Amino acid sequence: MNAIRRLWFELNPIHNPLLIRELRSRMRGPRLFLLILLFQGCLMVVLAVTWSLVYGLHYYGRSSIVSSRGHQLFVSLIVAEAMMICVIVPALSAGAFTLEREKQTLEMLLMTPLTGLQAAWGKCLGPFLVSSLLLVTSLPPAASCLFLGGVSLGEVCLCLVGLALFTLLYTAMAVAISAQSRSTAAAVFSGEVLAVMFLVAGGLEALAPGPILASALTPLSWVGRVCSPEELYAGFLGTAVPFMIPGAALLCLTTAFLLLHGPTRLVAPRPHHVALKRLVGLATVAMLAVVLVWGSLRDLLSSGVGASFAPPGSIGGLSNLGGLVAMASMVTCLAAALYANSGATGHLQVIYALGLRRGLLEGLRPRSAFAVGAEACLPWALAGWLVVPGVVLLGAALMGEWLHTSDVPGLVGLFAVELGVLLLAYFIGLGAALRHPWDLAKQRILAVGTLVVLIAYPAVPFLAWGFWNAARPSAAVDPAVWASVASPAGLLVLFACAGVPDFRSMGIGIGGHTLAPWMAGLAFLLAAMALGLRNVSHLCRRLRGR
Amino acid sequence: MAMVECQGLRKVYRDLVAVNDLSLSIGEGEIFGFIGPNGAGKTTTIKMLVTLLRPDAGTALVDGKCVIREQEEVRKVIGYMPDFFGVYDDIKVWEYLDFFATAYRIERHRRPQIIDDVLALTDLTIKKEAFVEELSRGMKQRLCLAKTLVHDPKVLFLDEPASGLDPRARVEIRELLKELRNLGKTIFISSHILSELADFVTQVGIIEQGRLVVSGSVDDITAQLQPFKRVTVRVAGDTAPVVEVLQQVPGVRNIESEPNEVRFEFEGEDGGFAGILPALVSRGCQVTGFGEQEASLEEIFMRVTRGAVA
Repeated sequence: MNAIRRLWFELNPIHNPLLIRELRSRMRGPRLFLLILLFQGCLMVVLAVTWSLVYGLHYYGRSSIVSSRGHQLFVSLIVAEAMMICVIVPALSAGAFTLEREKQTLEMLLMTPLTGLQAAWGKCLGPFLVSSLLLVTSLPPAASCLFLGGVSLGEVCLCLVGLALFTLLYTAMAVAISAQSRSTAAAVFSGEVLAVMFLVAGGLEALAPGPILASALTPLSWVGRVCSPEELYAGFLGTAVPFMIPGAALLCLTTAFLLLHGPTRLVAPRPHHVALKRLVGLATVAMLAVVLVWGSLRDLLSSGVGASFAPPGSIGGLSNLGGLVAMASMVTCLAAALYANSGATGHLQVIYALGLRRGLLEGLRPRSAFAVGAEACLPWALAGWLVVPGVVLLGAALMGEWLHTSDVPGLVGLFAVELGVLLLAYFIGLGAALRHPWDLAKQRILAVGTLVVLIAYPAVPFLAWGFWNAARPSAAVDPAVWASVASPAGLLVLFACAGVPDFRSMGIGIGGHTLAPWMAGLAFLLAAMALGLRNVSHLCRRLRGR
Repeated sequence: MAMVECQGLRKVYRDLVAVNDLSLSIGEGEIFGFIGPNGAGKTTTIKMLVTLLRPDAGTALVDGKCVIREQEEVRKVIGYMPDFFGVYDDIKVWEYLDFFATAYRIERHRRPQIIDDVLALTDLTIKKEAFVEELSRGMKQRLCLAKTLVHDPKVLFLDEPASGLDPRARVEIRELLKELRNLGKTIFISSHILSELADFVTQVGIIEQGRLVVSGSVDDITAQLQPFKRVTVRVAGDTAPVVEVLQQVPGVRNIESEPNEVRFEFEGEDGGFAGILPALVSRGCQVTGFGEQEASLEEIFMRVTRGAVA
């Protein structure tokens, strides 16, 4: 009885100081509201583009594909939410313990009688509730789909519960990583990579022995079921409920770690544990990479590409493996760009700290500005991660004749866009850090704001075209042209709203616009070079003048 | 009863012996000044005593509870203020204290009163609604002390509480510590700035290279390390007669003469010392001042340490 009472006390949110503090501090200031605004803004863009596409396709005589406008809008909404949650949630939760360590508050916290269970629960529940708030704010757009028809109230509720379970899984995963990481940057990076890999790792489903486990491990597969109401209901118990298992398991893992090893380990992690963690991390990433490639190959060689992903009602499903690669790398690219951005600012902080505290500025050469801080290398490592599986999958797709050779230059051009965005993000971050060397908050707002505008601006003409097209159905310009010219955001929006279209069946093909992504990539690279030269020369002047 | 007691405490980081065979005992209500140069092992010792680090060897008891086996019990009776600490963003002063009060499982209805009390004690009442990150360094230090006091601990471990503060803030912290002493708290305070501790500690331990070089009350240590007295005599006029008288007194040595002032060392019984002043007066010396120069904590420290760092 005492044990039950104690458990109740430890799980009761009212008695959890970490949760109370988390909610107090998160609800203050404009950050959370800006995040909600951004989240809502993205959803609005997705809905608007889908709306215009639905009208456009309807006009082109593809009404059989678009069975119901409300349903199509709803599918786009859920896919977009699943992707955004995958990026936002690890960023919100991965600082759980690392920030305490970095701000030197951890020791004081560990001195209190707070138990491991309370610590893990409080740290998990805070970001989970904040992320859930984002889901709740998506209710009005979901309700608009409800009014348009093609989707029932039950489906809306089921999808929200499913998304909430994903959120819990990602939060628990990020908190577990945070408990064993030395820095927030490393924890956020690991959390983002794992979340994105979970999102896109279709191979896991192909490998899994049964459909229940498969659905539990691949969020996109679950999202795919949203497209068919029958499957959604039939599959809920087999998908959403097992989803609780990894979430709960990871939460238990974190708790167990804190309980078993005691708080002293958090203060001073031992070297051999660090090596072990790296080994486990590498093994996990390697395993996911192998199953991703293997699973996709199996799909490719047997039943056809993307059978596991193909949302039954979407435009042609993911019948184009190139499209799958493009989508996966686009999502990762956006996360990597944000990371590169913060890496640049952190990087400069290190230089200033070194220079000012240890008097090293005089001996610091400009080249060292890029050598200091290992985090600066991580975006490039990530770019490698994008390129290698991309090349493997492209090769496989070509061998299986699922991808037309004329599509390859277009996709390679897409990678050029990504590289350009990464570079640009890094130099924007560096510029922001130079402008406000001591104000990290300003650096981040400036860098992220500029980056978002840069990535998202081409969506504006795209949107304008969508509305124009909706208003004047006689316009005959294809959306894919605009999307591929536009930007990562443009393509992402297109993919998110309608699934990756079967370009060839639409008679256009990615290869038809080979020049467009190359031009965009070149533009990003040139911009990055110009900005880079300017910022680096500014940095050199600053270092020498100090 | 000893509130803090440790025997043969030892902590090794790879090849570095941070604390070696450290034994000490601190009674209830004592204020123990833990002195040592930077890197001597002060923080490591404190972290072992507050259960944040596990000792490699030795035992340590706080209020009779073992810091290795009874960590939860020890944490209930101690308050710890680290040498470097941060504050949480976007919360107010009272919310910060409420956070720790909740973590220490203080009932909800008692929290407001306790918060008001510790704010009054640390002179932060007017900052109750201010945001924590807006406080000055000295105020943050006092706030940290306030959070250390919310659960009314018996023993306080304060690691360099006045480091990085301006003189006024330093004096304020010192006054606050004196008030805590009057409240009957046992205080274990570390510092490398000796003047901070000199006027209110009751016991001192000096650590160097991880070893406790000397420990005990300030007076005992002074007597132990300096068995003679240093005396200064001020006179109006010539100092030669004074020197002449002093040379005849047994136990007097190292006489130094300056205009209007004579300094000497005396080793012997108190009775012999008491006879010096009457002897000077009876020989017509115009004595304007006669006093023993007390050995400062700083002098003791310089004498027992060799300037080496662990």
